[in-house]
Amino acid sequence: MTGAKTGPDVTGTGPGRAGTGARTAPAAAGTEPGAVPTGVRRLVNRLLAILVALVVWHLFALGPGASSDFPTPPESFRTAVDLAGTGAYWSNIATSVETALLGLGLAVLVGVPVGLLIGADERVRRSTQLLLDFGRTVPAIALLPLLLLLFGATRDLGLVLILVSAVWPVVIQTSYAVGEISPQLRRVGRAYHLTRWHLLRHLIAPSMFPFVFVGLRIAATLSLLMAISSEFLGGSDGLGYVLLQAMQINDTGRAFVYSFTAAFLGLLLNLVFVLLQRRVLWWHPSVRKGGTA
Amino acid sequence: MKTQTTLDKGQPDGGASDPIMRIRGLGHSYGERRVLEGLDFEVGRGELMCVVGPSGVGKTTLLECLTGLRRPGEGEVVFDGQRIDAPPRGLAIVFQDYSRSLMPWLSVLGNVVLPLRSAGLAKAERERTALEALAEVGLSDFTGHYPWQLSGGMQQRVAIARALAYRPAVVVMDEPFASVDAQTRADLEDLLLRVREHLGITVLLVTHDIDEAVYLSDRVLALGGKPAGIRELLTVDLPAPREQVSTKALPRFAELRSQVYRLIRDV
Repeated sequence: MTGAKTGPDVTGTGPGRAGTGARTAPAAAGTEPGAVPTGVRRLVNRLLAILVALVVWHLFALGPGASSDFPTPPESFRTAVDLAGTGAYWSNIATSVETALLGLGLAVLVGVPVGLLIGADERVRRSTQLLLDFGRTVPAIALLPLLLLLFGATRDLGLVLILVSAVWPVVIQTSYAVGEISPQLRRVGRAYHLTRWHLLRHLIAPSMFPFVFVGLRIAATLSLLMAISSEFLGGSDGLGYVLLQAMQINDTGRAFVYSFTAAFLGLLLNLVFVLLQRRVLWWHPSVRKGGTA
Repeated sequence: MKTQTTLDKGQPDGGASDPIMRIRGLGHSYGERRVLEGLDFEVGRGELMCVVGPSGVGKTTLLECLTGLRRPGEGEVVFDGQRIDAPPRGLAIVFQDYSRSLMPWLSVLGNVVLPLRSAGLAKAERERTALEALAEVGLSDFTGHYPWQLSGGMQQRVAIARALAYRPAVVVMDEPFASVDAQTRADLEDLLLRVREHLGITVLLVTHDIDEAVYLSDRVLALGGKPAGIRELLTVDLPAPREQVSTKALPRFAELRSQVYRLIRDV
């Protein structure tokens, strides 16, 4: 389910898109001109939107959802507080995050070198395109039965699942990145006799990084998704597994909290990447303030 | 070493009295398309020579061959006594597209210093050299800025500073002022004349702008035809120092201008 959905987003993603995921705010900002600074109004609007969602949820839980034990927001909040007091809750989060990070590491370890090899030659890049498109479109979850057979309900299963889904954006973006090193800068490097190390450190790596970064960001999101999915479907420890358990005993309250926890982890991950991007790509047109191209 | 040496001593067949670059029988083709043919000329030490020709005549190809960025199909380029097939150490290039030839992730100083780091200069020396070069182009107050925080003209000055800091014998410039506004362009032209006077470097500048070529040059190499060859190598006998208004008001300036114009236009 998840692998296929995120696939199309990867297509030729340039660095310009890297910053868009987290900020859809301008549309929410008010239209009438007023004395209130837009930043404050934006925040108020966001809180309002959340409030509306909570009210709708509450009404739904009391009405149509009542028969199926749909928890109300206050109930969920209480359950969350209770769960947060247990060590198991946090250790499950830690397990899932650990699996995701390990898997992401694997995907990078495999994806970057493969991407470099593919990107180094325009012909290779063109001839592998179909293969890559195919690879990233195959929903990794579809491989689960096979992998379950091979690895059983272990963390290895999660890692392999993450690898086969998160490696594609890394490979694709890295291979694009190689082509994005400006020929003009290469000529500067030749004309001014830059050493190999300086070429790599000050010319090639910074040129490629915006593109690789987009791949990393997509891969990170996929890693988290696949870590939790594999726990849910395969049954190894982690957030996904406790979610499955809660659902099996119809403990909707807990199931809700676990689902929200997963969502928050996703948001947190996104935030980390936004901050990281500002730190390492501060010079890039998508991040920097002021100046021209 | 004086900049004047070659002015009045231009010899027949494009010779210069003390050449730093010798171009012999230079020609180049892209596949079937012949771009350059039979170029023979010399660039004198300390000379400022402009290569002028209409757009698409092959100026960039010529520049690439002259700098060693491209191996010419025929003939040879001799730089300071050495035949070259890669950019020689004593030559610095200022590219047309300043925004793409500076590294946005390096500061102004970082951009100027990088080639010196690669050359293995000690930290103190390379910083001093870079700061001197930046002072030369009037950017002492902007060393910590990033290229994209500067105007186009200032970015091109950074690129010029990078070339100067490299301590080259020859600076080759590819349409360096083509993408800035008219006032900035005039300022940069005068900056170039000042720097060249001050440092005694040789400058080889490629341009499609006839006014610019006549205004700046000791000699103008007029490029024309298909494939392109030397139409004429004109000595510009305008008095030094040049000045944007008074020099361009001279009758001789207008004469030279029309002469170059006819040379490169006629097919």
